[in-house]
Amino acid sequence: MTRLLIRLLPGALVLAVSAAQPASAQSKDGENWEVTSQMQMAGMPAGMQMPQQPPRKVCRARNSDNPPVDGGDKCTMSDVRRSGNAVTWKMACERGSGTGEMTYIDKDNYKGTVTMSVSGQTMTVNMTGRRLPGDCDPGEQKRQIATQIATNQQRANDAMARQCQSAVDTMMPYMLRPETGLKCDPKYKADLCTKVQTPEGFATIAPRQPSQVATMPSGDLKEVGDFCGFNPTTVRMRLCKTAEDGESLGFLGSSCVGFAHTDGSPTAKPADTFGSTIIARECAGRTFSSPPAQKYREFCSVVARHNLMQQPATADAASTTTANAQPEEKKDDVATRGKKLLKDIFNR
Amino acid sequence: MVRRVLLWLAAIVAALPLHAARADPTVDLFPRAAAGYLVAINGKARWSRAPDSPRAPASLTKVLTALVLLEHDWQPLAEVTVSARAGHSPGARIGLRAGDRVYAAELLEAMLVASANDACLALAEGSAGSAKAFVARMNERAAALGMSASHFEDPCGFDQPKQVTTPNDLLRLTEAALALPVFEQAIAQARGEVHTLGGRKLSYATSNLLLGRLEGARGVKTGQTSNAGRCLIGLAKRGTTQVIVVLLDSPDRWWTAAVLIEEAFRAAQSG
Repeated sequence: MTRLLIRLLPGALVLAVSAAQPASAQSKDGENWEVTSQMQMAGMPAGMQMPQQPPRKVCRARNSDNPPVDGGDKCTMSDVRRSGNAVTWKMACERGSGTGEMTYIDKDNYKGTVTMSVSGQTMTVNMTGRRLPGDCDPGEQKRQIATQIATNQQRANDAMARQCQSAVDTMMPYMLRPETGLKCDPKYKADLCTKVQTPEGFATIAPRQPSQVATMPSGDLKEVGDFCGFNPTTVRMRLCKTAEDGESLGFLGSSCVGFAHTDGSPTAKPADTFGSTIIARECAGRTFSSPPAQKYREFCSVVARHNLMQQPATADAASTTTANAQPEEKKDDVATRGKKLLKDIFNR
Repeated sequence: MVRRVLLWLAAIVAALPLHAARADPTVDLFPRAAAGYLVAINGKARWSRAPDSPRAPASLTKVLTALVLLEHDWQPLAEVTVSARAGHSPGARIGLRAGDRVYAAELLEAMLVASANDACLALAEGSAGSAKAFVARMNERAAALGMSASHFEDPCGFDQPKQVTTPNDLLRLTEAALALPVFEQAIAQARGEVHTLGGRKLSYATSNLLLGRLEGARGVKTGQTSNAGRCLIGLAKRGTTQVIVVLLDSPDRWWTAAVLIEEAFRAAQSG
């Protein structure tokens, strides 16, 4: 809390001396003051004090009764009273309130004190002010602050847009949910939901595994489907049918092999799977020494890989024993067994 | 904010590709690859099935035969006389006849490249005096290598009741053999010739279909018997990555080996 007060107060004492001036006005009817402040806090050990703040320039309207002190845009003054050389006021800031008093030593110098209460802690800021030669524009500071606020807001908006776009690029809908604190434009959700229903998008999210922790997002098919309001199986069937018809072998291999024509469910039956016609025509029956046509080679490898990853029908495929069988029987498997082997692989 | 970032990171980790999440060497990622298999990337087992279950090794035995030969007073230009038994070896053979005299180096290549049983037995008998004596050396060497689940009864891999090994033991054996330049050079040959000192020329081709068909394939050894099924130790190198695949009783060893090797290089690339 002490650190918060230290940060808040010296800067917060940039009082809105020029509050009466319209922010857009451009005039030189202000006078420059250099304000030096030093904060003291209740409870600090004797002899210790906070470091003196660097002098700050304050532009006050020439005919204003407001004291030329530095209060920033987070504080407003009220009940300003002047009696002779003394001025008192009340002050309300974002995180606290207090009072101020000052005395003009002469027309170009003053001394004053602001006492603030912030979250139950009291602090005092001692100030001295010195008028500087020259004129200034009392609205300029206000305009600078307004510009800064607008710039900061734009930066925040840009950062948020980048986060939202990142959710689309990575196809992770979690970041678009309101509970993340991001307020993404609905167009990002529309973009993401369109993207995941393309072959490229679908192929990216299809291998994602659901998170082991229920509340943990994983961007898997079900999560994305729920978010976008589509049935992943329906989308898979539509995309796979198109891929099959157009022989889009990349997508067919990555996202369709092993899923049934009829209902899109996983299947171990080769005849039921998407791509089965191509597999039967281009992959099955090929020996390793007589490989599939170049165009189908990668696809057939994907199919072979898929088949190797299925659980075998029996736990152990060990061969039966024949005493004194001969190593490397003649004709190995190329000529006489090749067809059967590949048939086994692809038709298992 | 920190919680949001952690959730985001966790979500990305959860979405990593399947093979990246399955780096446990005990994982059987390819249940249909073989009754027993092992894939090692740069010497480290990555995927396996029954890696310590003993099975008949068939001609994969000849890797140990070669290792014992090469480590035991190897004389490449020693003249080996083919015995009647060797000359009548069944199975894969290059056509040696009893009484043929051949240089040991040529027999070694024929044994490793074409899995020639006649060359194998001639070498074993020529080196130790008898197949039995040679097998004793093989078991000694296997024990020294730590192939604790292996036992050999035939120098060339013919099925014998107690002739067994495991994928893990074969990986160990292969790595030891690959340390010998003569072995590494021989297994990579696609074809060769044996010239008997009597003037006959016997040509042979490799039994390894991966050679010349799969990028980076460097051979090693094939094997097949009724007991063992189709077996293979496959080696492939691409850049600094070396993949060794051991398959014991694999229904389709060539496609399987090709898929496993490609998958292993992919896994190595993705870390």
